[in-house]
This record gives sequence, C-alpha cells and structure tokens, in this order.
Amino acid sequence: MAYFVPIEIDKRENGFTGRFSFDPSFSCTADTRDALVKKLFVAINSFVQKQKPLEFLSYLEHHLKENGIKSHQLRIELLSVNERMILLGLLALKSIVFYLLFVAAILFLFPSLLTSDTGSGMSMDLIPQFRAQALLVEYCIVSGFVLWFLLFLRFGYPVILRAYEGAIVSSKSLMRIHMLFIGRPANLFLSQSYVFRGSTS
Amino acid sequence: MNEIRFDSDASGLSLKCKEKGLRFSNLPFEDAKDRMQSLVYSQYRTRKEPVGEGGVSIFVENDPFCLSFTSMITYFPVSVYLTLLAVYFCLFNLPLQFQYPDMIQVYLNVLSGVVFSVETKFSLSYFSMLMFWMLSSGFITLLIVSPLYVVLMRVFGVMPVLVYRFLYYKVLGLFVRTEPSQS
Repeated sequence: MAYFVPIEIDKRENGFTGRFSFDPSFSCTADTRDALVKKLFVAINSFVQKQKPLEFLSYLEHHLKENGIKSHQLRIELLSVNERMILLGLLALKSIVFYLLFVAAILFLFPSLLTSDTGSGMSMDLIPQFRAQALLVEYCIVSGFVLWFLLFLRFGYPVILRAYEGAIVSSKSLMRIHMLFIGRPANLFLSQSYVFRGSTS
Repeated sequence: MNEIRFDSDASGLSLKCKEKGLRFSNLPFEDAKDRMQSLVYSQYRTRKEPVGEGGVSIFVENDPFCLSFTSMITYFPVSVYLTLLAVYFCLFNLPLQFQYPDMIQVYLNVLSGVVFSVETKFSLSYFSMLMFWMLSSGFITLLIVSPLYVVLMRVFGVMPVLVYRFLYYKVLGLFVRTEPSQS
C-alpha cells in the first residue's frame, strides 16, 4: 500500500531546502535537488515503515483528499523491503509445497503420465527408462513452477500484498501481530531520523 | 529516486501527463489515486531536469525486487518456452543427452543413485520410486531455482529497458483509458 506525502522544495542560493507540507517544524537542506528528495524520503519512509503509525497514515490520506495534488509528492510504501522479502519468502515456500502437492495429486490420479507398467517392480533393465522419464518429469516440474511463479508474482503477489496491507491497517490486533513477528525483526536496523509530532486530528 | 512529472490543472485532482498524452480530469479521489499508482509503477521513467512552473512531480523509489512489469515481460516468454520445450520432450521423447548441461546431469545422477540404493532395500515399485525421486529432487531443485531466479531478476532486470519502454508505453498505452483533452 502506497501513500503520497506532499513536500515543498525551495531553491536557495547555496542549495535546496525542503520540508513536508503538513509539518513546518521539520526541514532539511542539500546541495542538489535529488539529494534533498532522498533525504526527505529516507526520513518519512523510515518513520512510517518502522512505526507504522495508523493515525498518521489516515491523516496523510485525509490531507491528500482535502488539498489535492498541488505540490510535489513522495510515494512511500507501508511495508519495508525486508518485510516484503520475508512475506515473499513465506509465500514462495508455501507455493513450492502446494505446487508439489498439486503435481503429486495429478500424477497419482493419472499414473499413466509416467509409465505404462505401473506397479511392476523395479529392475536393472528399467533403469535407463526410469532415468529418462524422471529427468523429463523433473524438467517439467521445475519449468512449470517457474512459469506459475512468474504468473503469481505478476498477478497474485500484488493482490495478496495489498490485501495483507489493508488487513493490518484496518485491524490493530493484526498490526500488533505483524509488528511482533515480522515488522520489528525486519526493521531492527532501520535508522529513524524523523518523528511526526504534530496533531493528526 | 525516480521522478515522474505531471502538469497539474487548477482543480486539485486533475492530472495530465504530457509525455504520455494522458489527461485525467475531474476524477473521484480513489480513481485518481489508482491511476497515479499505475502510472508511477514504472521504475525506469526518470526525469532529471527541474520541473517547470506549475507542474508537480511524484518521486518514486526504485523497485527493490525488480518485480515490475519489466521483469515479467522479459522472463515470462522464457519460462513459457521452457515449459513448452519440456512438454515437447515428454511427448516426443527426444534424446536427452544433448539437451542438458553436465552440471544438471551430474546432479541428477547423484540423486538417482541415492534413490536406487533405497530401492534395493525396500523394493519399491516403479511408480512409487519415481514419485519419491521426483518429489525429493524436485523440492531440492526448486529451493535452488527460486532464489536463483530472484537473483537473476535483480541482476538482469535492468537490461531490457528499451523493450520495456516500447511495450509498456506504446502497446499497453493503447489500452489505457484516457480522458479527452480540454483545450
């Protein structure tokens, strides 16, 4: 889930000065415009991703809805890179298990896909045939998984991620669980340089 | 950081992007936000020059996973090709020794050797042994392949920029609903 943070950039004689539109108390300077944007982004991004302040996020939504898009915006994500990596890893592991179960079920239901002499004992004469067929099955499994994993990454993963983010934003108990098991360990080394001290009402 | 430039209208939620020929006017808030999300999804749309008078910019962080549409467009045909190739081999049972690198062959030999030794003890049937071999080696291979795939996307995902820009802006741009320009 992405949020848009309004910023204001002023050009001065010795560089650029920037601040958040909703918080005049915070400002930073830099030599170049890119460096300034990067500083502002790091400040607000680390604050949101580490703290996940729900009131502040709803305030951001309300601010954007009220004022429109009149100034420059920073696009920040609710979940940090580490959190998304953990979620993606969990989903990938689950995908592998389910995919193997699916393949096993298909092969169990249709054993003729593998061999015509199902149930016969293994013998040395069958080893070359077995290895050839096993190689093909293995190749099918791996390439099939890559295909489905791609489709999942393109179409399934964003939907799941968005639903998950919506769930943790709308439920405080889910947010607590997420912060306990994923959020805090993932963002342990994320340095935070900005705290919003204004009123969100 | 990537910068996407918009030229804003007088009304707050109206946006137009001159380079893409898009103009969104009088949109509901959620709709405008969704369209902004889709527009800023591009990670290669970089603008370095200062924004002119009256324009607004949206600054977007680079996609850390390279899981954007670029990678999908690049690697999706590859995986489709691999799958079709595998189906073709299964159907027509072509000679295998010319199709696989030595590393895979060695790896498969080791795994199959383990299973063969198990088979002599328990006298598994042909089918059950094949199932066991497939599941065990398949699981190990997938554990290797899936992280490798992410690494490959991370490394090579930035290469096909031109293909991506053409496909995304020219081909897919045809399907984006645009508002008629207001003069």
